[in-house]
Amino acid sequence: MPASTPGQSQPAASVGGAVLEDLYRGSLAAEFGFTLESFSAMLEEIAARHDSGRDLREFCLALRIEDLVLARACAAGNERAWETFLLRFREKLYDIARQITREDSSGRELADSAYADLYGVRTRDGERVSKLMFYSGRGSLEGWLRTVLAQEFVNTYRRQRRLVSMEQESEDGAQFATAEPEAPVAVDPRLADAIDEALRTLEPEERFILSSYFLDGRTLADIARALSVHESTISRKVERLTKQLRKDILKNLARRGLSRRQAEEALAADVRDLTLDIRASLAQDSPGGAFSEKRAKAGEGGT
Amino acid sequence: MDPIRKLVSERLPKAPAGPHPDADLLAAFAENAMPKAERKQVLTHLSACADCREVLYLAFPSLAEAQKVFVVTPRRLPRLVLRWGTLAAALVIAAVVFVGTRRQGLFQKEARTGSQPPAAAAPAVSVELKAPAEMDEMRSRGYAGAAGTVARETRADKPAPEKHMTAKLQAPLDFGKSDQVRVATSPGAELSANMRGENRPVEGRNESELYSVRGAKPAVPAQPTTGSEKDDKAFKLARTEGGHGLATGVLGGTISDSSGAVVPNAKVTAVGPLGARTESTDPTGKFAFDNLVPGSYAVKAEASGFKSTELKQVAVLDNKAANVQVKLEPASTTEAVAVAVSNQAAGPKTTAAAETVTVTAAPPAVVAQNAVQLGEEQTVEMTRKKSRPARMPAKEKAAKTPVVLFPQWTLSAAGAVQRSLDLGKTWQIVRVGDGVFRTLASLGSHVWVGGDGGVLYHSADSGRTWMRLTPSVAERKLSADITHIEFADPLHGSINTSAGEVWTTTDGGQTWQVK
Repeated sequence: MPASTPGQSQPAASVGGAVLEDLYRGSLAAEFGFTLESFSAMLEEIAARHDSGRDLREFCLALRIEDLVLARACAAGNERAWETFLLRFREKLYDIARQITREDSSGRELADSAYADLYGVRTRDGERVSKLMFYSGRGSLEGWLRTVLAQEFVNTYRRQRRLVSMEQESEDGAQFATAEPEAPVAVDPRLADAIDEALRTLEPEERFILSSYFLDGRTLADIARALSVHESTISRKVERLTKQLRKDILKNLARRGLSRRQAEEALAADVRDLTLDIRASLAQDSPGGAFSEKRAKAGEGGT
Repeated sequence: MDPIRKLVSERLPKAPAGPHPDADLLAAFAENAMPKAERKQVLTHLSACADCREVLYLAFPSLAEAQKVFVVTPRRLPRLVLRWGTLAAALVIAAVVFVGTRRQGLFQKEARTGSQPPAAAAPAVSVELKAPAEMDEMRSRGYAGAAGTVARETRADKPAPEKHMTAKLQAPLDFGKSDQVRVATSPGAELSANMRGENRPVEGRNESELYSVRGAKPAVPAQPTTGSEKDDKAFKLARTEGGHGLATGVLGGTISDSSGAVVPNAKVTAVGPLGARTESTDPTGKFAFDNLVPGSYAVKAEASGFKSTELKQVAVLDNKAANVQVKLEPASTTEAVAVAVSNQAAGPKTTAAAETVTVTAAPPAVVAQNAVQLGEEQTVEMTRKKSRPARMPAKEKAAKTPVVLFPQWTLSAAGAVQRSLDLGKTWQIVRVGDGVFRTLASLGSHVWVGGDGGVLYHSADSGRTWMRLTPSVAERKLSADITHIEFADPLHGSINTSAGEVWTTTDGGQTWQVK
């Protein structure tokens, strides 16, 4: 993180009066009942919340001001803003919810509960609190809505899952379930260390790809979408990563005092894989060329 | 299985450090709109947090996922019934032919002098064109009850026998479950477009060809509903013209009171994607907004002595006139029919009348939400009735929900654009232009595709014609690869690029802002 500008609570003046005014005019802020002061106060608050350490001006310019103004105006109860919001997102919200839940009725339920949150059914100290207050324009409003819906879904789903599992537990009479047994880790602690070390040297993005692909079972297309790159890039990366990891782990094992053969064996955890590996390495090692050479030599010697 | 994969899966970090990134950050991350350092932080968390990854993947599904539409499969007639029905129809035709020839042979004189033309001249047609009364007679005479329907169905099959889609779509689609209305090009017109030269580049197709495709559409009026004949005149001007550039639509209608008398001088406000416009009704109670950008509009009617009435989500389509009938109720108290969010949450209600809605200022919940149709799509319902008189009895119309479907889109691994007209069963490659495409977005009949080197194409008519967009800001053209496209409506959209920039437009791609 660049620590170029340590002061994040600079006055809005540092955004530059002209820039601020441009942003103000460029959005529908005035129409939705913002004054220049309240507008700049909002930006300041957001910049403070996202202690990005970036240049404040740059930070503000990167914001989705138009979406932000709309969201804040809705949160403040501006009727026109709500009209615009509903016009733009009403159908979309249902579509997204349906996409997430993959089912019509629960999608509807999800969208409805999201609406309630967005509108601010809950009150705090007698005041309506709209969830839109928490949108700060870093990404698009639609992206934010998508994420909020997905979070809501994951939370609800997890709650439900927990409920079910508790019920099941009591039915089974296992009220004092022991902690889940630790997954059988690779026998050799040296191997575990070697893998950890290899993983540590990877970029976060590479670990993300591995987690998504190996653990979550996501498709290459999914991962590509999440990282905003092309599918083929991910495909290449996965291939390269697996190869590189293998090499790194072997190297790390060697540093921990394992011979090449031992390291290979440690890596081939599965017996079937092991035999395959051995056969493969035998095929590779079996020096067909050398043998024929010998024979050739023998032949030479013979004649 | 690769042992590496197993071992690595076990050792991959599974305990996230620090708090979960909020929705804002995740969205900015997915849209590639954050500085590298921050992105790295988020990635570090994501790589260790399965929950956040799940949220991310749910919220931003890959193209193929996003394209999965929740369409309830049409209720099809059991195959057996169809088979027997076809047989019955064949028998009926054969019988008519037989009887006709016999009559011609035996009673030639009578046939010549009779006012009825000989049935044998066009036996099949005569079956099809039988008026309902004659059909009833046929039934009462003991022909198979299914004959009527089947005869109609076999006829409907004929225009595109090589595709089964036509027949499938004509089965009643059940939208009770999904409540979702998809608008589609009429299968007939679309297929003919397909056959005529789908695989030729757009530039290669000449206008007449395109128009001939349009001509293939059934001669049904743009509004499938009971708009008064007079109203049609008002919109005729804007109705035609199907050229290039940004198409515009017309929104008009009549304001009347509860007795049906027109209300002159009423103030009508239309709020759409580009803001609000106000007009007053003329002495005949009519009003019209022309040159509107297509989209969803809210129409508000106010007149002194009446409750103001608002109509939400009126669809204005390309080159088409939306016809709105608003009934005002006398004002006892001023009551705004602003639809509260709780009511909104009840979801869209599709109405039979896709474009014309009559609303009274009764309780808010009554406000009919009509299906938003974009582009020049028609309901399947209409294609079925192609050769029948254009105007159907109002009763029949009200009973049917228009079933409308958009084509689906995806990209091939090689970066070509593919379109499916049968809910993803088969895909055809659509030639768009030069370039390797990486991402696309579709919204009704609007499709945007973008790819390497900043190529960006837009089609407003489900891929029949394409227009290249060249986003540029202050002489700087978009040249990085386009990685993501998102459009909230035909005007407001954003593009993410591999350079980490976000280009946004608020006018359908004419001008751009870059971040």
